[in-house]
Amino acid sequence: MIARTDVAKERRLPPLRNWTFPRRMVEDHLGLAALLWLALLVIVLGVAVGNHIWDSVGGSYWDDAVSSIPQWFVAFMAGYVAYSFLPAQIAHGQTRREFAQEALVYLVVFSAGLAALATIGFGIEAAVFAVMDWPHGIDDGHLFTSSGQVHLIVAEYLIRFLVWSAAGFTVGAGFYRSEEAGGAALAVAWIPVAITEFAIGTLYGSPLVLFRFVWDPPALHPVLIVAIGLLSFAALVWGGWKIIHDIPIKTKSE
Amino acid sequence: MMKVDVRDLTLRYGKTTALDGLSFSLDGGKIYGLLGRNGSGKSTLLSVLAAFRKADGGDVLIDGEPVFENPRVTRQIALIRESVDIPDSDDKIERVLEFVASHRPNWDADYAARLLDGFELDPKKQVKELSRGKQSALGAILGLAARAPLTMFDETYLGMDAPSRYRFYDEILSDYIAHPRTIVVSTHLIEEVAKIFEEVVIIDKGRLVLHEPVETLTARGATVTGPAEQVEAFANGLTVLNERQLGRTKSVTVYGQMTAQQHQHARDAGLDLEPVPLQDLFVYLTSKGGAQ
Amino acid sequence: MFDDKSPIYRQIANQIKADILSGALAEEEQVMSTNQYAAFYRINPATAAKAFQELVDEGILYKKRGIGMFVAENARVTLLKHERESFMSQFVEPMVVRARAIDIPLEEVMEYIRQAAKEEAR
Repeated sequence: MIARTDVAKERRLPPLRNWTFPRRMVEDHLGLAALLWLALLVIVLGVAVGNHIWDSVGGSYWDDAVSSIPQWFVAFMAGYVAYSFLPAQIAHGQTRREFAQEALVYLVVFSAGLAALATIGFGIEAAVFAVMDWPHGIDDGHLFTSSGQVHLIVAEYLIRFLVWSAAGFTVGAGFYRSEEAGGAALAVAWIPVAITEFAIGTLYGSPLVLFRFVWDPPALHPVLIVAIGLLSFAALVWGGWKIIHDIPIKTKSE
Repeated sequence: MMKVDVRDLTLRYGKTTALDGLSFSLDGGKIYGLLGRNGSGKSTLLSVLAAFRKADGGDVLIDGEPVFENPRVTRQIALIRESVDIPDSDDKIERVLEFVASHRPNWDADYAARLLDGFELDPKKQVKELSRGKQSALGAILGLAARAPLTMFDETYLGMDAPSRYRFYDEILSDYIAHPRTIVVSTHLIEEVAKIFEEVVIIDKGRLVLHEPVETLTARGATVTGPAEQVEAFANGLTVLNERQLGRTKSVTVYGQMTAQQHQHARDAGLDLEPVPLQDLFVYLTSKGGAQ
Repeated sequence: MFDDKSPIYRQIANQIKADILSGALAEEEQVMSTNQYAAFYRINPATAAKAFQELVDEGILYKKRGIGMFVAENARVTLLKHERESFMSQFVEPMVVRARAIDIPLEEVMEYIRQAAKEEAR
């Protein structure tokens, strides 16, 4: 009859986790982020030069740039990863739990990478401004007050990107599940983001900035701010898991 | 060898019941045909088997273990559907192969390359540029080269032209012979594929109609052809599926096992007895008022 | 290859029997494996296996463990015996029925056969 002796050979144990997914995502997205970071840096330095020529350089421009745009990038990338990769990973044999673990690694590493880029940007701006003898004051509403406080800069951008990416991811997963779930996720996920941004003190880059005309957030101790950020991140991760843990993988027509 | 046990499986989409207390078992290590009309629950069943969905009730056990969220088991299951499950249709085919290969412990890259060649797919082409038929072929290739111990094809052939479909069936058969595993093919182009099946599972309205070896199923009836009176006499009292008549020659398809005696009787009466094509049996068994 | 007049496994079995009778397959010769059969004719190996099993049951083939399927000693003789036993019901009876159906007197048929017998004797 049929040779069933090769059956034993075929039944190999499942492979040790190779973490291909977060590795590929981080590589691709950090690569893209680095290019965008470079472009942003060039623009910011260009703005500084322009100001110098027509007016005067008042302080850091990088602090505005890096606090208003990158978090949207991070949120959308995370949302794309959830919406596109979740079904594909599950369809090819991964469990939802494994996917969630790998996605978490991606969010953390990606956020850390971007926080590093943000911090390095401050360093470069500071160096250029020092050479040009321009003032390098930092706006209100940050954990840090000068570009030398590297640990505070890293902390602020790390928690910001963690929270925004987790929100984007949860909304992406929600929309994959259904329009209702996506809508619900959208309606709720902005809350931990807003809380974190309030705590940090800036609301740049979000519609929430309008709240600053109504209420000035109190200055909190950096440790408390970081704690609030991490709790917000944890809440969003929990919400994301609630959506993902039994999510059905649909056919294209569903 | 990827034994599949389905017990009392139930699944509802809102008001529609897709799976209604479905139960059956597959020993494994064979090529199974899964037949059912549109809306019979075929795709839903395969989704549940692959842990794409959770059932509302009942169990799915593969080699005795529950499937849902069980990495030991899900790693060994490949379900290929009519649209390829990939993250990004902007990706080139070669990237898609890399992606799937990273998930599949038994992936055979050389085999995948040979299949790409055989189905005339250019690895540098983006998936979104492919015609529907070529996308289906890509799906088929992913399913075959993964060599998953439980491989399921859900109407993967849709959009493929006839030569590609036959190439697909040939590949299933020859790779199964070389690398035995459990393969389930869901289809409604029954006559084309029937000869690669060892057993057939027919479901209708979310319930099991039957599960049998192909030879048993095709022996469940006969087509009797000959002079009209003799044919009518022979078919008297038997369940008739359909009749055709041309002049004095009549052809009647009857449902029921033919005994050796009946075979002899038919020969004596100068009648031709032929097996019933699987397609006809399937139509009968899944039609209104069909078999018990 | 295969028609739809009878189950595929029966057609395979009949073909092997025909090959043995004609001498294309000799006694003690190895037959293609089920997998080779399946791959060549594009059928499920289980179908080929069923054909082989029938032939083993009839004493036409036998299995050498680990090697394959072989034509049994005296397979030809056994087959001829079977064929002879069913010759009348399988061939002669239908011939008689057909002759009657197209109005050929059985005497004519017998005369034809007598002529053939005479030629054989020469």
